[in-house]
Amino acid sequence: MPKQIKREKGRPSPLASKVKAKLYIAAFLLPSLIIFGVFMVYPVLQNVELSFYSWNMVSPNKNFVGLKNYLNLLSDAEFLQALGNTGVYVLLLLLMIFVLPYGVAYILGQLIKKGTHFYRAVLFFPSLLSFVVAAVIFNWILNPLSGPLAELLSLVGIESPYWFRTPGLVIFALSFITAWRSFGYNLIVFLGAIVEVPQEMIEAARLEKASDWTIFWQIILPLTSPTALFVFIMTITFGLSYVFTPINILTQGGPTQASTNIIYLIYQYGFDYFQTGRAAATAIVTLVIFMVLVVIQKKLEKKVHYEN
Amino acid sequence: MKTKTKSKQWLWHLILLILVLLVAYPLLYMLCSSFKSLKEIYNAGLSLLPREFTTENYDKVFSSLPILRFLANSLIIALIVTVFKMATSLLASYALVFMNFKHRDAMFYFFTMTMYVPFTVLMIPNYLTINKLGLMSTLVGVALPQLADAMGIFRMRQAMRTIPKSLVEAARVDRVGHMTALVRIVIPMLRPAIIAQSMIFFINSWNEYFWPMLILRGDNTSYTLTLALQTFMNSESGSAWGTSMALATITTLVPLVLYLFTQRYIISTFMSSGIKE
Repeated sequence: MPKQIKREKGRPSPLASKVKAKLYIAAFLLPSLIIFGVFMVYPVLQNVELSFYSWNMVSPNKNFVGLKNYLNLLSDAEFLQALGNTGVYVLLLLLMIFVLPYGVAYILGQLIKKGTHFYRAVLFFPSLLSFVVAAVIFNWILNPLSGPLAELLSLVGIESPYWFRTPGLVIFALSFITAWRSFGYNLIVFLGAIVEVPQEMIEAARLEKASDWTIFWQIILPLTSPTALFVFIMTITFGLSYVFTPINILTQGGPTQASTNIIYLIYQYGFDYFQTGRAAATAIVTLVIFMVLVVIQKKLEKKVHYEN
Repeated sequence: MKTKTKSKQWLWHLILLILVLLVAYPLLYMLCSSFKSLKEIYNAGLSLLPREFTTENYDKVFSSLPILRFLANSLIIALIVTVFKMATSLLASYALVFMNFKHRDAMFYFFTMTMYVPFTVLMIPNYLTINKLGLMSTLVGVALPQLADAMGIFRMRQAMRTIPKSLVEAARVDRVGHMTALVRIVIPMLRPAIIAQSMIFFINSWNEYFWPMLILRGDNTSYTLTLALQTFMNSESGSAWGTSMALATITTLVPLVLYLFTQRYIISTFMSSGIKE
């Protein structure tokens, strides 16, 4: 202890060291802040600006149109359809990569006695594949003329539909491809939370003859709800972006916009129709929806945290 | 009672095995089809293994595309992105954990919020910025916006919080600089987390499609593998069945090999990503 005090005495003046400490903080944070500033904050602000203009991205002239881009969205059939499709995507994705992996993680983490490591290693692997690879594989597997699924269906006397050309089915097919690629990631995140649940609680419940079902609802669910909340929001926000690549490769939003969603529509407005202002307005609307979701998550998270 | 739990074990394993089949079949289908002739693929039905093993798809891919060039492009972008993301994430998370400053929590909140900004929101402005900088059709143009990563900061911060603060503080009292503390004390203790996160950065960049497509589409010599795969599939449609499976297999090899070596690290990193505070 005395040694330390001696050293303190030899230190430079408090003001100089304060400045130095500030410089260090800046030096450590600035590399990230500069990148985020230039390629995240500035683009969001630029989107706000562009959303008030009518512009085709190449012309030197931008026409100020005020809120017209936003108002037009309200009566734009494509936007409304994309919004509806987005709802369907969200529901399907929640089912396939939120509800399903939650249950499967419970089986993996608490119910089976052997094989957890094998299952989790295999089921996780597709999460490391490119969505392009997933789209290419399923383009052939779902091929209605001679793909393996068509063969399987013909065994039971069903003629394979044209998955990517049938409105209604196309969203299901694209969601399935996205889910196939992303299921394992959410599974592992859930598993991480479920194995942390104290064993004594589960064993106590077992002694009272609680069923697996009851244990899930009364112990696992409340204790893993912060993670569930996190995965829930990620499934919506990241999920809609994940679908982008399969849409872009397999359908380009078709047939007749039956598979577009709000994330993809921003791209279509911007790079297919060259309506930069409208794309920017759609982007801002999407961003606001996402931010509201995230803020709700953070609020709920705190509440859940205190309750436990 | 005992027989009841036993029969249920069967049910659980059955469910899991069905899922394993759903994961494995498409991958095996890709691998096996890449060694089949086009004629055989069309008539294969549900059978996986090739009757006549052929490498003609691979020959065709290598002769019709500069695959090694694409491979190098993917590799260069992924390496730049991984090294920079790791460096910026380590620096920022060190500051967030071991330095005291006003608005530290707000700063962390800001970093995590950036995770949720959809990329199509950033696409047009970033496209214009890269264009202005004269970096269109360059690998640097692809890498530049991706040199920092909120998820990386989030995970590195989480890992650093497991290090006792007193350890770094003691070193600081002994007049060890922040940079030295980071390199000599913190980084060695985080090796598994750093390896796992680097693998994830690398694989994600390797797999990326959309942003490279926007920046590189004007110049097909600077394509990445995923970009080549997409154009290949679309351009030759029906006849590219076997060849696109070959190219998809090549694209998958790198993540597969990395996964085989670092599987445990990667899974444990992801397992801890939902647990916060």
